[in-house]
Amino acid sequence: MPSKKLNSATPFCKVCFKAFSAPGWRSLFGEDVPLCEECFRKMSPKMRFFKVDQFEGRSLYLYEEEIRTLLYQFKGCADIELAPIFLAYQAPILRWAYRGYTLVPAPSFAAKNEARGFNHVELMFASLHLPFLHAIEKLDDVKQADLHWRDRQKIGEHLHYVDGISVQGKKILFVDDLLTTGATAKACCSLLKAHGAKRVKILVMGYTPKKRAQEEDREKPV
Amino acid sequence: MGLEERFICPRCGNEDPKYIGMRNGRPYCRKCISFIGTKAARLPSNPKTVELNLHYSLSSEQKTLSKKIIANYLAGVDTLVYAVCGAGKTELSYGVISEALRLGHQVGFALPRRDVVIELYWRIKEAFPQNKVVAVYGEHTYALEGDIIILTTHQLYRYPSYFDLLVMDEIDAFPFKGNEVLISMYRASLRGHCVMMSATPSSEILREFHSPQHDVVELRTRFHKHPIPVPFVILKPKTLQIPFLLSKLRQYRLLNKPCFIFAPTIASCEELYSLISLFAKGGNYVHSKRNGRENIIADFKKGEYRYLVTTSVLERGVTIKALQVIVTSADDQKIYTSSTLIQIAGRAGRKMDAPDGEVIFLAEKPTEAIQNAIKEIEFCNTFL
Repeated sequence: MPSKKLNSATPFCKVCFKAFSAPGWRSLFGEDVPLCEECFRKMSPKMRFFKVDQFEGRSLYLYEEEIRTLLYQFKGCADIELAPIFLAYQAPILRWAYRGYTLVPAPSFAAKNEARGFNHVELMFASLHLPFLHAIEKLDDVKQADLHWRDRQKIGEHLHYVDGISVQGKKILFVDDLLTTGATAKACCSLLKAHGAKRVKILVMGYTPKKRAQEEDREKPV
Repeated sequence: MGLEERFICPRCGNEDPKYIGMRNGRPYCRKCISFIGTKAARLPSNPKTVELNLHYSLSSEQKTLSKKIIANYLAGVDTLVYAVCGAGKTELSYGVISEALRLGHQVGFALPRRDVVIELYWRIKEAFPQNKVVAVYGEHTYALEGDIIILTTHQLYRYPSYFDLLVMDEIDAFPFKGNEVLISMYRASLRGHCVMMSATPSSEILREFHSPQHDVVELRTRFHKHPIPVPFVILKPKTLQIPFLLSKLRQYRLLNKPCFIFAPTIASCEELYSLISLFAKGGNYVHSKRNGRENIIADFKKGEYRYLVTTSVLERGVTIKALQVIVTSADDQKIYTSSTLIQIAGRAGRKMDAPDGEVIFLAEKPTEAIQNAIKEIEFCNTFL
């Protein structure tokens, strides 16, 4: 039945569930965009470049209300269908910018991934079509978001380089969903560099402006 | 594909393939996915001692209606209470709540808005001093079980097949109105019978309750037997509305009366406040995104502010003595439907010792919604 097939193929936004009026230019290359432009703009996309120690980094969104709820729905409620929306519009640029790189996702506690049923960081960045290397693992269940700045810097104690995986001479892109103080990114990148990576860069989804990170910090118990 | 088409969500009844996702080869519903959390444990159903503590007595009309609701509940009939704003709908339900508690039934009281839940919590706690009353709303879910559970409609998913008596107020309000997920959760949480209350029920609800096993009780007058304030419509171009508003605020300040100023959107609310706060001191603004709005509203009730610029978050369930109401851009048809305008007008003159108040609709042109709202209020006033 051709009519039914056509109907089911009508692209719709994964966030607001509205149908697209016109398919974008990327459909010419056989690529589906799972997010409408209106929802994309609501997520406050703003590419930022920053440096954590000597490592260059790039963030894609300001970490505000809309992306916070979407990330929560994706991670906390295990809404796996949301995975491709985060890079829906930036993927072509990023694929070009990071050609030849190998992705190292931020380590998450293994038991947590099992409970969720998937590794959220890996799925989010899957649309870059770059190879993954799980070079770093987290052995304890530490949640950075609950910690104070000073305690966050100690994250390195919980991170371990996985033996038997080689990053020697490779160009590595460290990916994570959020960057607040940069403690995790710093610890991971130094580990990768120490194990012989040729170049290490950071790519994160949300970036908390420094001022707000400090404000939120003040409210937490020391 | 075949699996996807056949999947029906066991919780919200959704079968639209658009809302169905696949996780590790298994379909799941994306429509009600954000409703995850701990479920309430069931308490043993022992009869409870009830002592109703009211500082006032119900009017004779309220008493007969209250008895009728109790009789309906015991006969297993769902009741719709169709009563004007300020008629004392909440008090009408006290009778059936205490009856159900005496029988050892589980009682719930659901509302769409969290501000109203908080306010109602204190009122019910005061009225039922012997029973355990809990309030359950977003970010306040520490205690889920009690004799009387007051909750937002968003929290109903925690109580599947739980309530013997579920009282629902403001059923025609956003976000409950027309939200299929919430409506199916309400149906799933109900084990016994419900009492619905509204001042402006939609025609669908009225049709549903004009059927067997359903009953409608009507109350067209306020408990203090004073007429509902009829709104004045003032037609002025936008630029001239502000000076008028300021002169009215000045007038209310001299009379020492608090005032609500309604704005249609969050942006226009902030804009309006930043403009009039230059000329009229001692005000504040609230909308659904404002942090700490509970404190601002509590301070307003204490009389710390002279006026409050608000969006339609405060259109329902708020009772403040001697309140005056001004609605700006009342001709915004998207926001101000006639039921919203009736609710807003119903904020004025709700107390026995201050049964009067002024309601002003500021508009550029008269709309159908404004005219219908005024007609409805005048119609109710003819019952006096």
